[in-house]
Amino acid sequence: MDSGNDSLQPRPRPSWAQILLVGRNPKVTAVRLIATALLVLGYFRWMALPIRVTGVSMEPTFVDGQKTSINRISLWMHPPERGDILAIRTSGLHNLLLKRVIALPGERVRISRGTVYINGNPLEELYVVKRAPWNWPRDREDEVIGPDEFLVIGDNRGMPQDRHEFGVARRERLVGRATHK
Amino acid sequence: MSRGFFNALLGLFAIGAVGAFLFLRPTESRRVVKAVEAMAREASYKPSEGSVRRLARMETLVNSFTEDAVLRFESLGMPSGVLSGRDEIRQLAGAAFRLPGGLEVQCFDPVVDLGPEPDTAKVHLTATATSGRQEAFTAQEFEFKLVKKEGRWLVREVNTVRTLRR
Repeated sequence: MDSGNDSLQPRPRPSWAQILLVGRNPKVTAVRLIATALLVLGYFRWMALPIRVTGVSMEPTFVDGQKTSINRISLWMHPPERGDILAIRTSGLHNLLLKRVIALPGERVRISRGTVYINGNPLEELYVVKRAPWNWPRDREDEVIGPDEFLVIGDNRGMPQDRHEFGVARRERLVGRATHK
Repeated sequence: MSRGFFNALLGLFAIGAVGAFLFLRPTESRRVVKAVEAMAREASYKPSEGSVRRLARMETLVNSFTEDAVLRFESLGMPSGVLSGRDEIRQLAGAAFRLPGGLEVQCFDPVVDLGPEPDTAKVHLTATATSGRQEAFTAQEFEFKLVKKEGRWLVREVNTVRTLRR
């Protein structure tokens, strides 16, 4: 009976310090904190992976030191298209390559004196500002892109070909699309 | 705070502690990663470090390889090459330890594959190197093959891995 009467008595009002630190209801605050932390972690891990660009291979679209994010779920919904800027993983996600998709699976591609030819037709690339006379592939006529592969190149074609990391990326290495203006 | 909530917190803490133990305990894979990370630490030096310290680092680094170790390089913007044995590795390390701006080597995302033979392991990782004020140059993937000799993991083969096929 006593305990029943006790439960009917109004709870003492929590102090302002307690409200500031753990809220009116510590249990609810704890659940909210955990849920928020999981949401934030999940968002930055799976939806918008934050990255800082290092190097000049994507200039002028991305410059050295620029910060951006990688949308990881967009590739689940839409397959990569020509012109997309993709992040490509190395052995993990700490270091990613940022490159633009130039050729899609099944296409024949070659670069002759800096111009990209897809299935024999020149590709218009408005994002390329400077163009050095690159030639690729050097040991054969054309490169045929495999069924789960994409040819990716950076936008800075003014730099020497041998200093620019480009080539064919397997689909399993694609992490997501870079967000840019 | 109610007793139930306190017990739930205690339970979570206990699960976390068991998880941390399982995650952090020194497995063979972890020992392999530590061996490779130790190499990266030895390969890193500050410009202020004296020549004796650099020499000691270099010897520790070279002794992390087996006598017959083979290094195959095919890196962007650099001539490809093969180094065989500790003497050739020592020559390369000698040049690397003379950079005026110092060197910082870091290993990321190691993926360890133990076996197939006993006391052997393969590690796929990404390494970056920074010298002086220069930003880290293009990250390079490597495959390390290690062998356990007298309780120590030693590198017997290093190959560069191309992220993009040319």
